[in-house]
Amino acid sequence: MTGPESEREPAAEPVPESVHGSGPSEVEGRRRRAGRWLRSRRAVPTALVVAALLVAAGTLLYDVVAVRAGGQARPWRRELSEQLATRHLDDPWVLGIAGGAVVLGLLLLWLALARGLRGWLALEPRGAAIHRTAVAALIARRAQHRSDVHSWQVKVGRRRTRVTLTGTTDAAGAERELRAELARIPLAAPHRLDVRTKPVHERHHRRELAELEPPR
Amino acid sequence: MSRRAVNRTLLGLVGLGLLAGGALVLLGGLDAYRHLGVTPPDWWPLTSPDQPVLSEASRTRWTDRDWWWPVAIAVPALVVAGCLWWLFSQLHRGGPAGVDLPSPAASGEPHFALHVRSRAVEEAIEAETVALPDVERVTVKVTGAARRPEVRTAVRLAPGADTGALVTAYRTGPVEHARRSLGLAALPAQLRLRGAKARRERSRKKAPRVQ
Repeated sequence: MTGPESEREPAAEPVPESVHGSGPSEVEGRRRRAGRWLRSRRAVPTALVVAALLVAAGTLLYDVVAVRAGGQARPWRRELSEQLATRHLDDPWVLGIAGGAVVLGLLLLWLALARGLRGWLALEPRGAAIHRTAVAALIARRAQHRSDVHSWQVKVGRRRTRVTLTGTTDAAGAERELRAELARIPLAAPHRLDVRTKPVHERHHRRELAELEPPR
Repeated sequence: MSRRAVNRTLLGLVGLGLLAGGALVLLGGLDAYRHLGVTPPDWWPLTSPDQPVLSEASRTRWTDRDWWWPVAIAVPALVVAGCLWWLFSQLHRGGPAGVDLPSPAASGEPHFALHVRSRAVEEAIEAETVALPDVERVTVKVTGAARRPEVRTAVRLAPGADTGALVTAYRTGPVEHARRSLGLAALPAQLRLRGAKARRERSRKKAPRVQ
């Protein structure tokens, strides 16, 4: 049922393959930039920063206006200005707070610049994305359906997928099948697939093997 | 500017400010300028470890100027106003209640203003998407504004789904039909695919019983 459809999909866009031969680095760069539209909105960290800014600026504004209207500065502000005027730059408290500010600033800068949405992989027509667990489920299902595979482990990273199969007798065939399964997913960025095969440790799995292959 | 750009710009500015302030204090406090043999320019603040963080003199340096008090009140007031604006715009996140259809009549002529509830659009797209092959569950949300709506769709894939065919079918089917029936020039659509959790049944493939 899926045969003709999966045949049609690669045939619909043969352009990347043919262009790939002429200028691989250029196309590679374009494909690397393919998922850039998929960026996190950063709602939660910004809400925290805005809440902190609001509290700080609101308190300061209230106090400045109160002083301007003829009142007294609050004790916290007098205390703060006194501490700032008496503590020197090599005071451990000053150094500690400055170090904390540097770390927090780096964290916020990283949040501002990093792509985010690390669980999602961009798909080929702009606007579609697939979760990494869904890719893992598709590949694991294909591995599960091979009769010679005893157990499998699928780890889908952001740029590469690692599959470990145990007990397969036809490693090349299994790898070809998994590669075909991954190729059915129209991922926008280049994605590697590493397939490793391991022999079954008979000592530990003798009972399962006996179930799989009853003694003749 | 989109909300995402606003958020990221805000995070970047606050992060840069914290980083610059902390680095200045650390450089001065650890006496890095002398160790590195660098002489900062005259106006450079916080150069010596023996100076206070903010001395009485530098705190009150500008208090007698005309512009000082207006600025000292306006800057926190602007920050508070900006934060409140951000909070209220975030509270508005439910998306438009409905979609305004472009009027077929020329401007100036009498015409009906047509308005479709967002829920109706969502249900139409959901019903058509869930009928596509390999789709188990669909949630559609109309976002954007009433005049230029956008669609966000979350799909749970059936096991062994053909993802490429599904993405194409979603574009050419439900979204295109909704765009055409709403009479819009463009209907940007986002699609998020999730799978059912990979079930790790440890290959309990029972051998067929042979008589």
